[in-house]
Amino acid sequence: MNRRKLIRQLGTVGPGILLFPTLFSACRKEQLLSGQTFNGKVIIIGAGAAGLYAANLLRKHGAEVIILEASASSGGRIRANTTFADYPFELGADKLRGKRSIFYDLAAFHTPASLAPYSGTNYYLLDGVLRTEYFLKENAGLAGAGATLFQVLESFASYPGTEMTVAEYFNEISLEHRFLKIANALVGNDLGADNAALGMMAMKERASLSAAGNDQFFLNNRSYWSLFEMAFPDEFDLVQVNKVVKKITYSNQQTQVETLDGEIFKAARVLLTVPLGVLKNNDIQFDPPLPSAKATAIQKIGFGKGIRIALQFQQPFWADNTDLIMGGTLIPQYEVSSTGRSSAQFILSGTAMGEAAETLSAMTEQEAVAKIITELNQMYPGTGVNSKFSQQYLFQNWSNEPFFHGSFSYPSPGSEYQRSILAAPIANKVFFAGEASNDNGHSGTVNGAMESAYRAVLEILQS
Amino acid sequence: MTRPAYLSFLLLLMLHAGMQAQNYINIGSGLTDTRIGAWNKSIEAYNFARPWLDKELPTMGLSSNYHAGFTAILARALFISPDVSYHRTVAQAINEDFKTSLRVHRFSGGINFDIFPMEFGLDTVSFIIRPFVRLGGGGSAFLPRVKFNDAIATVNDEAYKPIVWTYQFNFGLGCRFSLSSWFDVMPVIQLGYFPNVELKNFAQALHGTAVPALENKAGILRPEASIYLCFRMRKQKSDM
Repeated sequence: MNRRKLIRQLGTVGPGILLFPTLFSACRKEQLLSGQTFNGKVIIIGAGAAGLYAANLLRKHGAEVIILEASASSGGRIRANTTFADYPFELGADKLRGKRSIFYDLAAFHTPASLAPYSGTNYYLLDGVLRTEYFLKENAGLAGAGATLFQVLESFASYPGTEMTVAEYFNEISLEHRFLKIANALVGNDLGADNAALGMMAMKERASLSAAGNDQFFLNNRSYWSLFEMAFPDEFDLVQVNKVVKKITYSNQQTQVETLDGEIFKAARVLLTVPLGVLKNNDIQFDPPLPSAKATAIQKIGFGKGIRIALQFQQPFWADNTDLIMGGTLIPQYEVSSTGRSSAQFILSGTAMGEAAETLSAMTEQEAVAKIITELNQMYPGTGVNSKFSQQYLFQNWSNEPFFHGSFSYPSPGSEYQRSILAAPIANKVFFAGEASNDNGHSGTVNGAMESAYRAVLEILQS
Repeated sequence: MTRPAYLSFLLLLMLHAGMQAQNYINIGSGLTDTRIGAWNKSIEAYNFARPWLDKELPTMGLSSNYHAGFTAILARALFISPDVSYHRTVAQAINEDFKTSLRVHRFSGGINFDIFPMEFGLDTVSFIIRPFVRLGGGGSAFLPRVKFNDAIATVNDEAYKPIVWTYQFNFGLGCRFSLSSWFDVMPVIQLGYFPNVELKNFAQALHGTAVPALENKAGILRPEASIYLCFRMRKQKSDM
């Protein structure tokens, strides 16, 4: 073989020699999530959706877990009354928002037959008369104002302007005054506040990030918390109730958690899933204090006052297919709760957030209910609302709950990017989950709480 | 060049090559490694976040591929092979009342140049063996499809049915076994490199959320092994 021939052959064989290692490296299995473990103790503070779900995930990946719950029972802001109606009436989280979500999949897996979409008609109070969405969008007499409102709901993600409140934005686009209560019910009240308390930039961030969808579902014959009981039965045994955490010390190698009754727990990691209201209220002390950026985030993210009521009627006075009734003053959003859940009972629920919740909080329950019945009378004149009211009601004021201080977080002005800061671990020892720390656009939802728990568990496994 | 224009150009070039020197028609099949880390992480995230699943969604492994094309002999040591191929990866988990399925379809079209170093090869009485180096390029369309209980997954309530276009470059080694004057068998192993495949919203469609450390975007290096059956269409003097 002469030299030229040798070089030619090497030139041909060379790429092949190079190809094979590349082939093998391309075939190599990459490091994925399933193999990750954490062989230490984790204290989870809060036995709500995020806490129970995180406990399950952590245990599956090697961690020893205990859950400290301040209340007398687990569930957090998922709470149902099982005696008021012939179905569990949800006092807290009541809608399953978005079809592509962990929470939806949890329901679809465990109880697909119970999962029902909201399929009725929504009514909106305009100039004292209840109207359908179709009327608002299409009625020539409204000159497109209703259509504009619904377009705005779809377009927060593409908001091109600068920071202002949602209320200011509706003013800027000259939304007619008579639509403002409807707008408040659709946007502000739905997100846990009112339009004057929501920031457009945070709304834009939320709408841009969210991918779960806007379809809404409910469980027609079981409570939301029962899903967690079905999915994570072993984790309930880990919950220690009535453990009010007052201090977390994370300067030492072991993180220390001290409760109000003086009990001390130590662990390698702490996962905090308490409501934002607890952090805002400084109910838990941190040693060393929280970083200033996190403290700022806690203050910047809104946390709403919220009231849920249930009114039982002997007969319905609403149209057969009614889902939601929006635009009231005392209660911005009513829902015919019994639709799809009971054929024997007629129950209207009401959700008041922000200023509406404050107004109701200033009254006694009896006064508030009397005024609500009067409001319903005005909405449905001549239908005998008073006489059909069975005088049975429930009144759940989340703002008065000492371990919550409110309902759920909302996108307040200046709160964009703050949820990621809230979510960030401290010193690789203290981790944060809960709906308020969801930075995927799903804050204020059970799914958002579960997503945040998933994220925090990954952080712990990788810490 | 726009994608439709590029594809039209590619198609015309392939037809032209086939018409001008249609020496072989090739059909082939084999396996493509589709263990793509960035995408499999989405699958693992889906499983990780749903500990209640009795049967987890398997990560993407090997996909089947099917090839069709021509081989035109440009010179004794240089063949050109326009080729179209279809690659299909399936992963599914069937739990009671809850079925998750993931399919990634890939349609590729391109031109390969097979270079035969004349120093190698073996002539026997009954057949001829010629190894070759393959260099090529083309375009691909990835069609990821996610279904839950046979319903197409949604992202923001919109059905998730993306078509993702990308370029690709091929580098491979093969061997041509000429078994008769009209029939060759050609095993080929090759690496396909796709510089930038962005399965936008893939994690959201499958997992329900974009999660840090999950990437929909990936530069992909994919090995594949295929066997082609090559049928000679025009009898010519020996080309090899």
